[in-house]
Amino acid sequence: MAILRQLVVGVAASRPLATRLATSRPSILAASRLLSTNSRQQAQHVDHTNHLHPGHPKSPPLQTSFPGEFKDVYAGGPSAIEKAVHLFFFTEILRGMWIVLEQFFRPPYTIMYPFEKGPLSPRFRGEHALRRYPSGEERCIACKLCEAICPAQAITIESEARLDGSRKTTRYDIDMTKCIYCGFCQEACPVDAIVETQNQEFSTETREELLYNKEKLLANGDRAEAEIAANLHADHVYR
Amino acid sequence: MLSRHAVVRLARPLARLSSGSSVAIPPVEPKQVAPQAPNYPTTWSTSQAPRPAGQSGPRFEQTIMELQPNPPSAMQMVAEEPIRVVHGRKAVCDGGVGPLGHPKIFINLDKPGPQPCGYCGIRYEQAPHHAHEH
Amino acid sequence: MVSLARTIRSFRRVGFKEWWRQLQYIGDAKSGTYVGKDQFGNRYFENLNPEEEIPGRHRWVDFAQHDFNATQVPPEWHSWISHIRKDPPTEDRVVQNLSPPWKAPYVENLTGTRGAYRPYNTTKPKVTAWQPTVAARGD
Repeated sequence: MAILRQLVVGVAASRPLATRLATSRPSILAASRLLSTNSRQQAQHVDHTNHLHPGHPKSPPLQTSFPGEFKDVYAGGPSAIEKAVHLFFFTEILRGMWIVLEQFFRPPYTIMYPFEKGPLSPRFRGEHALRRYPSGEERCIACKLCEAICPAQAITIESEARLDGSRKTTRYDIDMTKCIYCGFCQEACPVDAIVETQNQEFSTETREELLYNKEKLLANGDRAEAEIAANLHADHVYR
Repeated sequence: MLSRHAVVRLARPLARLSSGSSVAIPPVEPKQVAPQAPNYPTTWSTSQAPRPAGQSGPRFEQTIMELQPNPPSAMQMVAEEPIRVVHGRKAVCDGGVGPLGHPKIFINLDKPGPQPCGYCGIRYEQAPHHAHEH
Repeated sequence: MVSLARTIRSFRRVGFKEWWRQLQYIGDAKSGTYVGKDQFGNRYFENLNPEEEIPGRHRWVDFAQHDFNATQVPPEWHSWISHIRKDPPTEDRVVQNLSPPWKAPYVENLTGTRGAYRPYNTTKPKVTAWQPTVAARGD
């Protein structure tokens, strides 16, 4: 009985707004409350859509309810016994526990890391790396844009001319304990020298291992160049 | 992994015990200098610090220096790159990998000798033309 | 996706030895197509059938080492197993063409061992301590 009644209420709730205001029971509460204050709402309720649901008990048209006239707003709702049954027999809790029981017999959505891994974006921002050109030359030209834009001020650069006259960095330090992985450094870089690779598994046991210097960053780039370049290649049309 | 740690932790106080008996300060040995890069022996900038060797102090004690990051010297790699010979007075360089290269630049080759690209270091040289004088 | 039917199906496909190995490491009976093997001997598998593997579990690695960790996967296979690249590096022409000749050998995360990275200064110090020199006394 109660389930039937809920079904009826559910059907009523799924109907469009105008119909609901005119016919269904819960909206009578709202409509009668609106009656004294909002006349525009009243004007919309010309007699329509009741013929669509002939089986439904027809609610009294709003025009007949004058202020001051008694109207039982709970008529047709769940009876006190039904509400008491739901209250004292914990039916809602039982329904919730049934859902939990169903989940117990369903397969879990657990990804067995590190054997299986969740999806990563080619734009994922992980451990940093310094890249090279195919000729082997370091890409970084020590323009220090990354140092300037770094919001955490984690990058320190010093540059000097090499023996062959090319001006490159002698120091490129990233304090990975300061870094917030915002990706501004790789966005600022005009030559794609500093990139954030898709490596997220660089956890360390000591803090000092996170103070990367230039050699560590270059070595990161040297060993992961194929992955970095493939990701940049996949993204180059959007940049 | 755990057992390795346990061994290290056990070995440390033992080593301290054995070395505590000698009071005399060992003579200062000259700092060993490791090769700066696998393809270049020394530093290539004046203010560049030489790469620390394994026995250069207490900091790198028991550290396997072969596993430390040691990228090859870019200067040497570029120097080994063959010189591109260009017909004409200017060379065009964009890194050679299309959109993943560097900004396209034109290099004036009027001066004799190879001229390096400022980005990727590839050297370009004008083709010698001695057939006729302009 | 542990179920008796799935376990029996995977067992019948991969055989007892492989099933036992999976039980020791992944802890789950999985079956799929063999995709490739990297330079360390880790084997990679794939099963794209949504009835057998839920999405997200359809690519997996069987580590060669007993003391496995996630960083033993080299970068090219990492981008495959993280679903960044569609094709494995054995078939991906883009990854193969972009592999440079100076590519360095991959090492796993060595933290906690003697091979752990130890930072040092790559430039000389800007200030040097004053070295006291004692003039020789006249005798």
